[in-house]
Amino acid sequence: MLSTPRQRTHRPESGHGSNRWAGAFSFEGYGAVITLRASDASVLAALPRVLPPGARPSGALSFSRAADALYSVVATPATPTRGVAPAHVLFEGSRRIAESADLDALLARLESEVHFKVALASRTRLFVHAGVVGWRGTAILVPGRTHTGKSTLVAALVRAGATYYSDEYAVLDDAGLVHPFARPLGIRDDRGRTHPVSAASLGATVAGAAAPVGLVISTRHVAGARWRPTPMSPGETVLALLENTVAARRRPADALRMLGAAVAKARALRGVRGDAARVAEQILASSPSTST
Amino acid sequence: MAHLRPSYPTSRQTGLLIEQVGDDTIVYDETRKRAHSLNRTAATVWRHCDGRRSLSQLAEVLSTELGAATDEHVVQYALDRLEDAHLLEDGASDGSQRVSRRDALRRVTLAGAVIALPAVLSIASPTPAMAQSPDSGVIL
Repeated sequence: MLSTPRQRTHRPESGHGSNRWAGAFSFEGYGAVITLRASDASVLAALPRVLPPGARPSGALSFSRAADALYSVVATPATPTRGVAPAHVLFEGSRRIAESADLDALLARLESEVHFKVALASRTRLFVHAGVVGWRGTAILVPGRTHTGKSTLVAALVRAGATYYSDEYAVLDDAGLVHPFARPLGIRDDRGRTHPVSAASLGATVAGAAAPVGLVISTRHVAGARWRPTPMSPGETVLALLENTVAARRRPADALRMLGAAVAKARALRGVRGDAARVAEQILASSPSTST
Repeated sequence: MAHLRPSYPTSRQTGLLIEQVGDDTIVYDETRKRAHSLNRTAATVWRHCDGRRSLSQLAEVLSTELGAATDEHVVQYALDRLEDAHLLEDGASDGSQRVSRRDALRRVTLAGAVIALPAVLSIASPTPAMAQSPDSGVIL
């Protein structure tokens, strides 16, 4: 379990030359530069798994203000302090943001933080919280925050034959094209816990190229609801996407321009949905190809 | 039916980002961190609120641009929506003259017009924390 951070014994040292670190590396993703470090060699070796799709090693370590974030994982000491439960601790800068005795859980949290930081700090793309699949040459976007059921709908769409782009972010470029951000899907179990599931295990093909937006679906799950969507105007569609845009306040001009380009030729539907599998089939059946 | 007094509304010009999307106009308010979508009717009224046109003159412009007869009540209904969104200069519209949706719809219907009622949809621009899925990818 991750617990609420408390003031305890471990603190990352501000100096990057400290010998308490087993190592560090920086990466660049979508224009954002982030540095990761760990106090333990085995933890350090596990850190690459939290990188976002498309991340590239940065040429040099960046601890300066030029970096968008520094994350530090302080691993459980070999000899824990008496009376203190052992826990790995995650810091952003000098701020303690999570701790857990379960390293996998802590790394999952780190992954979420890193991806979000990249989404916020990106200088080359616009990140919208949305599930994305490809279908007949266009992308279908399902914007929404957590607990709206977008991952479930994305999983149903790829099971029905759509190509997988992302269950978390629609990554838009200046032309309004959507790029793949194909991390494992986060599927919730009956207890509300999220488990990573690879697209391949769902029989899905992972997209390899950007696509124009063909359809935007603003929906949320309501048990027993029938799918009777109503069309959205281009303006409504932009607002639906802007509400889920990570850097909406930081880059509003870019957001308007890129979202406007994205929806220029897209249809958009709004409505509550029930069973994801059935709705997925209806959505795909009603989605024409780009050539028609 | 409300009697409308002369008014010369002025659209707000500062602190706004504007993007045309199809027939809709997106206006982002950098001060209030809100975004608005104006349909064509509302956007036409807003664009011509220059502080020199009266309601009747705005109605004429609206009729010309949309190709359908309309009147001051429809304009006033648009101004009410625009004022609610803080897209008019302060005091540009007299709040006591508000026109109900029913009145505006009746005016449009009586005129046999095929225009949409003025509409302004608004959202608060999300903070990064609002846009974040808090436990995405995490097994707790």
